Amino acid sequence: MDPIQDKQFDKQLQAKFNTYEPEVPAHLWGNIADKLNDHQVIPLKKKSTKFLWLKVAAAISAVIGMSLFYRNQPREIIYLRAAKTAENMPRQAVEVKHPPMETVQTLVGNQQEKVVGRPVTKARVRPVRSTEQAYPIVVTTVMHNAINDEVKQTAIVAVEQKPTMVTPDVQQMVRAELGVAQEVNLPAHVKTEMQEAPKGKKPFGMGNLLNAVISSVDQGEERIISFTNDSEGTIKVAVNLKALRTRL
Amino acid sequence: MEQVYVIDDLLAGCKRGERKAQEALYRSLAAKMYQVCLRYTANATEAEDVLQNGFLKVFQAVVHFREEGSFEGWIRRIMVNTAIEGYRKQAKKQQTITIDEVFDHALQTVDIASLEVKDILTLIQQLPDGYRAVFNMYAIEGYSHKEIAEALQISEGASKSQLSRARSWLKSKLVNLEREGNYGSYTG
Repeated sequence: MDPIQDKQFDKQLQAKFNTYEPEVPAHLWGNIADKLNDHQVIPLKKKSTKFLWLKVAAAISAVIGMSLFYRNQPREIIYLRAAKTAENMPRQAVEVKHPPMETVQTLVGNQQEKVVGRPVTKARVRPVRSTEQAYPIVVTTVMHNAINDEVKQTAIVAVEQKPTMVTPDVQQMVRAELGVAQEVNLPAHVKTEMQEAPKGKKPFGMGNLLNAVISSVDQGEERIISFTNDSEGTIKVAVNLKALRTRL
Repeated sequence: MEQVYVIDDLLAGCKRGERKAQEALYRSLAAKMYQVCLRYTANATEAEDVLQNGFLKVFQAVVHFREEGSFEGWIRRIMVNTAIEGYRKQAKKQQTITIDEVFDHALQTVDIASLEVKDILTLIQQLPDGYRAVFNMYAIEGYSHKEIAEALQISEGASKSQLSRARSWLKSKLVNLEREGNYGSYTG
């Protein structure tokens, strides 16, 4: 068969069928739809913009609510428990400035050697914790070295009451027992401190606190500043200044 | 061009599995695809089955369509593949069928334009399955013998041989039809 005739024959057939569209039975789509329902074609994910505004509003309100919640939370107040330390502030300063041993030496006389044999230097002075303990150290040291037990006990009893009562009584008793005519000359600022201290609490000053702590640390003592919760003591922060100073 | 634009619009809906888009696609292409199915099958019942299964495959596989070619052409290939699925299993068996007696009218010319499409279609449907598939794929769809051989799992020589015999047989039948002038009622 002639190839040209064949190609022409094929083209004629193509032209005939390209324009031919037979009528499709009407029930066919129903069958296809039923089969599609059975097979359940998995559709691609369709982005739903139906409740987009609602989602955005919910997200914004959630952010605002969270921020308000945290903002209105009761803030925990941590109080510094530095009352005792604050009371020590003036006495500490007194001891450092004016070692009492010099005065005692003039009082005791022949017992001077024993006192001097145990010299009190700034580096060795231990910070005392309260007013009641600050001055008895001076007096008891003298008593221990110079007078008998009876005088010593009397002096201690007198001293342990109040600093304001200590100065005249004790000094007189000491003078009487020891036969020392000279009056103990305490520095003016020491007397002032002794008189003012019991009247009321000194106003707490952070500068004073730091000075006291730093001065003691300078003397080589370990000093720990601790902060505790006022109500239950659940929060505790402690700083060892000596260790810190050594490291620095 | 306008129809292509509409079909491409339906493609997105079909990929999303929208039933309305699927139905619209079916309505717009069912007649064309039914004609293909009729050419590849022996009767209307088989053609309906092929059309139905073909569209099911289209809707299930449309998400994988990469839009590199014509969407309509992709659907058409699915219909052809669905129609020739049965041929593959029986390819060797079909090659034993001969239509030698038709060579008497091979050299005669036929005026196809004067013939009814239904009559030509009826004659094509009377071809044996293998011959019908090769003739449709080569003469009307435009596939090469290599492609036909791969699709039907036969050799290229077998494809050429079957095409030649099918074409000769069809021409002889069309010559008879033209001579008889019995257009529109040819039943073989």
